[in-house]
Amino acid sequence: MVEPMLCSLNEIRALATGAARGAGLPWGVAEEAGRAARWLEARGLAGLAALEGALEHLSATDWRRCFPVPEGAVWRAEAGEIDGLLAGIALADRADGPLPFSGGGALVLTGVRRPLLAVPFLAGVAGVCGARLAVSVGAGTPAIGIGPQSAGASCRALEGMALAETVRIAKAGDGAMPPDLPRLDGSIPVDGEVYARLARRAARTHVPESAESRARGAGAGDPIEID
Amino acid sequence: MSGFPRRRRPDPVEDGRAGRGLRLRAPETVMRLARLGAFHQTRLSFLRATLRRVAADGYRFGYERWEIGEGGVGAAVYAARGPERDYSLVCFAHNLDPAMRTDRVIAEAWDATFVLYDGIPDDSELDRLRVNAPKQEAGRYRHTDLILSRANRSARLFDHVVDCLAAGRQPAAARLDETGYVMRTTAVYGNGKFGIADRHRYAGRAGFGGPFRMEMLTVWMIRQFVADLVDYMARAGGGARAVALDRALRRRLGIGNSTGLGLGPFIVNHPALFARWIECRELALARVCALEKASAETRREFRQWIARARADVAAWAVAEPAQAGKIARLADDLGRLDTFAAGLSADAAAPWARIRDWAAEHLSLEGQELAVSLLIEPHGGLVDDLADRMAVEEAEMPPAGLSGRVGDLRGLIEEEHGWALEPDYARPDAQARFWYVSANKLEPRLGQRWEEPGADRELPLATGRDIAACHADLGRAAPDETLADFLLRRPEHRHTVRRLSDPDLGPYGHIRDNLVGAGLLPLDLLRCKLAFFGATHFDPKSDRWLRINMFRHAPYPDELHAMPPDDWIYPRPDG
Repeated sequence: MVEPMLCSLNEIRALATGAARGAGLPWGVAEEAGRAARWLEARGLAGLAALEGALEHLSATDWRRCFPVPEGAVWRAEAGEIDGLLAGIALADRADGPLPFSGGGALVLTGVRRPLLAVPFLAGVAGVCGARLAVSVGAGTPAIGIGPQSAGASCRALEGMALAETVRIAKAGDGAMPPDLPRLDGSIPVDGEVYARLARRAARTHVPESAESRARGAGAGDPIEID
Repeated sequence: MSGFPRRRRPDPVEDGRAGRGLRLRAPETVMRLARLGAFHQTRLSFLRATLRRVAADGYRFGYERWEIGEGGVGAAVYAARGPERDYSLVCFAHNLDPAMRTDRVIAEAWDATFVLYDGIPDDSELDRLRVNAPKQEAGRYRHTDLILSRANRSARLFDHVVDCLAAGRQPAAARLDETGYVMRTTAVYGNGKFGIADRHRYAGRAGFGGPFRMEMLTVWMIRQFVADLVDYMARAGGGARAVALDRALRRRLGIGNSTGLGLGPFIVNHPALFARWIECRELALARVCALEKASAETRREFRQWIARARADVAAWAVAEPAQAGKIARLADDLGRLDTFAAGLSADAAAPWARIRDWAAEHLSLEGQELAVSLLIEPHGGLVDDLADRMAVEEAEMPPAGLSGRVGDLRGLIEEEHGWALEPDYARPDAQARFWYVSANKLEPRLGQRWEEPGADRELPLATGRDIAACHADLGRAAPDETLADFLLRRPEHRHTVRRLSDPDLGPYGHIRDNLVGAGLLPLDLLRCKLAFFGATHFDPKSDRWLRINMFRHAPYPDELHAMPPDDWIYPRPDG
């Protein structure tokens, strides 16, 4: 049993970015993963655990095929399942163009792994749309309210969710929604196991010393002068 | 003009004071590494801005605890009590085996370790820090811990000063000046490292919005601790015979700092912030140069600052041959600058612009950039407001919506980033280096791409090469494809596309040089950042690490309100 670690948000972002890069995602995508994990953890949502779950899958597959193919009102991935992080990125990039739900309809994503990771991006999309979004996972579950730049308390339902068979996104109606999750104040407790697993992934971006780098003094060059 | 949609910068540096039409130096001129690496401190530098603000806000400084034994080991707590909040510097003095004293950021033991704490720590908090701070990176910290730092004694000077004082005499000024400090920091960590507070916790507090203010406050308070430790150890050794270090001599001592490659990636990885620093400095210069007339008093003051800078440059001794040559040329430049300034007639129009333009034509890069600092210096009332506008707080998530099409971005690159397309990256020397994080030290390092393993783990600092690669792939795509679709197909360009479309970057958003070429001098990156901090006496020890001095000649916390807070950077030659 590993103790929870108290972390800063910048540390969480750096850890998540490094782990995503270590899992083989390009820098620009890894940086989105870092920001998304920070956004979620700042609101007490288990973003790092979701990312670790996503990376476990993405590192073992052709991650490029886990982006949604943004066509029509039902998006699928070539790989069969859409990754939540990559879905969020694709949605946010298109926020200022027409999206199936901008006019009042709905967008359905089919088979979404780690849907929690899409939430920070949807909060940005909601900002551009100027409306709250109602997100539902599977039939018969209550809608989750997202954004602009906030997430409703019902987002907790996505924590720990490995796969949503469908994610339906529409503009929220006027009905009552649970209150938004407040931003946490102070250090953020992070599951020690999750931290350690992500740190191991991030370590894959580090370069071990080699005979060549030692000989060339990659860091400091000369021996350190003591005065 | 490309059709790339420009978002308005959300927080531009408005210039309401000097009016419109200010002529700022062109990015093509400013954003070259050789010039950035010739920057000097200015009035806007962070340590000077911090001191001005702390003085203006009436901060009071004093001891909370002094629990250091006669051997110089123990803890001390200094309080900084401000109008709204209190901070404290928690200091731990250790007994370090001289064999373990190294300036490497990767050391495992230090002469002294520090935490800047949010408030005044109680006994249990002090105990928590007592366990962690001496371990530095290996410890864990909380959001109450704002800054983490450590320092080593200068073996050359620390013992000498203590011995002199213990024997009842003052050390010689010349001996103090040789080194310029009795302790140097080897790292100053902020913004969430190892669990300490994120910057956003205090960025909104009065006086601490500017960049690196907490870091500067920490270093300045460390300087007080070091001076007190020297006096204390002298008394412990010399008893009744001992004297305290004379205040004028004491002020000759700054805090040293050793800086390696770690600083380099920062200014590349925070392009909006770095661009803002440059823009504010250029704006300050432009405001000064827009003045139509100069009063006799300001002209006299300007020439006094030249004289003060000449004295400082004369005392700037380095062993590294290239920098030594630049300093010799700089000394000559300052003489010529003074002659030119003296020859300007009292009613010359736009005298400061004429000096700037003359310097650009006749002086070395070091000379030109020191002239910038000196032109700004007598104009505090005109420019000091900019010091509070040099921070750019990173958005939690960038704004959603990646408007624009492939053809637009390609056009933008061709129009504005020709510098990135110029090198032939197929040539081995065009990407001879790569930046990486070392597994052993967890610090940024620079490797030789064709001779060392690890280039597949390169940090995204090859900005020019990556823009060129993106440009080439944009050329293979349909011009009317949306960037969103392009990035779906080519996600490896996401980092570069984000950077190119960041509305925060402004005119000075890109260093227009190849950061992985064989000719890269990493020192230029480090020197530039250190100049913005306010460091002086850059002393290169190789092409990738250097020593500097901070706060030399500045008032100490215990005399801040008895002295002008910002008239010290180059001391008056008459003392």
